[in-house]
Amino acid sequence: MRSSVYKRMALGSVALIVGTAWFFKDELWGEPRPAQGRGQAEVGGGGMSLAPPFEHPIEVSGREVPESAGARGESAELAERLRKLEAEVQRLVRQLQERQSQGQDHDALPVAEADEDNARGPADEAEDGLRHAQRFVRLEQYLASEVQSPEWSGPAAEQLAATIDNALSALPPEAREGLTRGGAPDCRSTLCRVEFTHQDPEVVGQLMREVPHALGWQNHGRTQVVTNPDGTNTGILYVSRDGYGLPNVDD
Amino acid sequence: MSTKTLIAVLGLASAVAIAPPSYAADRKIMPGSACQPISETAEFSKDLFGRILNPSASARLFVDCPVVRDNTASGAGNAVISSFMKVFDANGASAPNIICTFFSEFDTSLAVVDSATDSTGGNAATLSFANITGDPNGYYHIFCGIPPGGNIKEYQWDEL
Repeated sequence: MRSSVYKRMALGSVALIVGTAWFFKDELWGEPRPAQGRGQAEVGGGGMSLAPPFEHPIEVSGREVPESAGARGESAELAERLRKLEAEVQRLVRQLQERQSQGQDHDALPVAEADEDNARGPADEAEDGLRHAQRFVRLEQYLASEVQSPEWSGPAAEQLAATIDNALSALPPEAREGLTRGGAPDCRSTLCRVEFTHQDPEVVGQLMREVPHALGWQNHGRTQVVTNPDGTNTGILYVSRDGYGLPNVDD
Repeated sequence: MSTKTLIAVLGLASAVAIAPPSYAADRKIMPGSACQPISETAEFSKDLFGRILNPSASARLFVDCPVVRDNTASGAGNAVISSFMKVFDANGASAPNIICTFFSEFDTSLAVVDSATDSTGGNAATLSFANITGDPNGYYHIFCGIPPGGNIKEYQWDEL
């Protein structure tokens, strides 16, 4: 009798929770809340000069990432960049599959009792890397869809190049040696792209962090480090225009 | 209404009442004194107000500020909804300014998941960073350059 009541309560609770979740699905899993633009930031009494709010919020609903950059007829250079990134994605997919199969083998082994739910294995890390590489494919595609802004592209590329020069000059001579720049910064209308290659991934990682920090405008940035067949490491940095976010390339 | 039905309804009501709102933001605040200089030889001080200050007359102080996360489930955008940093820039609107970058890092890769940079334009200012993407196993930190006479009073962040 009592167990019957408990069963009904449990079933009813599940039904109610599912129904409630369905009712509030938009709030729970729908579009993220609007971006809190920097221009709306609280000002601490000093009359801080505020940049305009994001004209393109970070969840850029109107900035759809195109399906195919090649179809838009952009330069061979952009197509090559995409080819490299897609090759990296394929490599990561293979790595993920290998690690998942290794994980299945490990299922036969005794599982540690502690914190099983939070345990993350090599397959999870490979999946994270794959997700990030896919974001970069979408960023490349987005950049390819942008046109150059006559008033911003040139000055932004110059400022970016000067910032890179400063960052390079601060590196030890042995780190500067062997560093290859992947051409001039590529700035379009809301986005810039920079590329470096070096034997040491730490040098690439350091530059990828210093440049957006010292750039002199409010920006959002993302970087990817790709290991080349010759063992060198290429870092790709995307930074947004002042007052803009990056396009939404998340899953 | 039968007793059984009444008990079932009350059970359901209590289940709803105790359910926490799953979308509530999780704000955390730290004093500026939690920030650490990135160089062992850097000139810096901390005071009774919990600030970290750059007492140097000429050198910029670089500090890194830890950002604790407790939501590791949100892998995609807006893992950190917003973050603010209350700072004092002795130069006011003139350069050099306090510049800070919120970094979202991977646990292993040297790539950056996401970053946001802001800088001061006045004496007492609030730097802000919004909509940071997170990696499920990654971590966050804020890197700042403080010109002479400047300080960081506090910083805060809202996780999804």
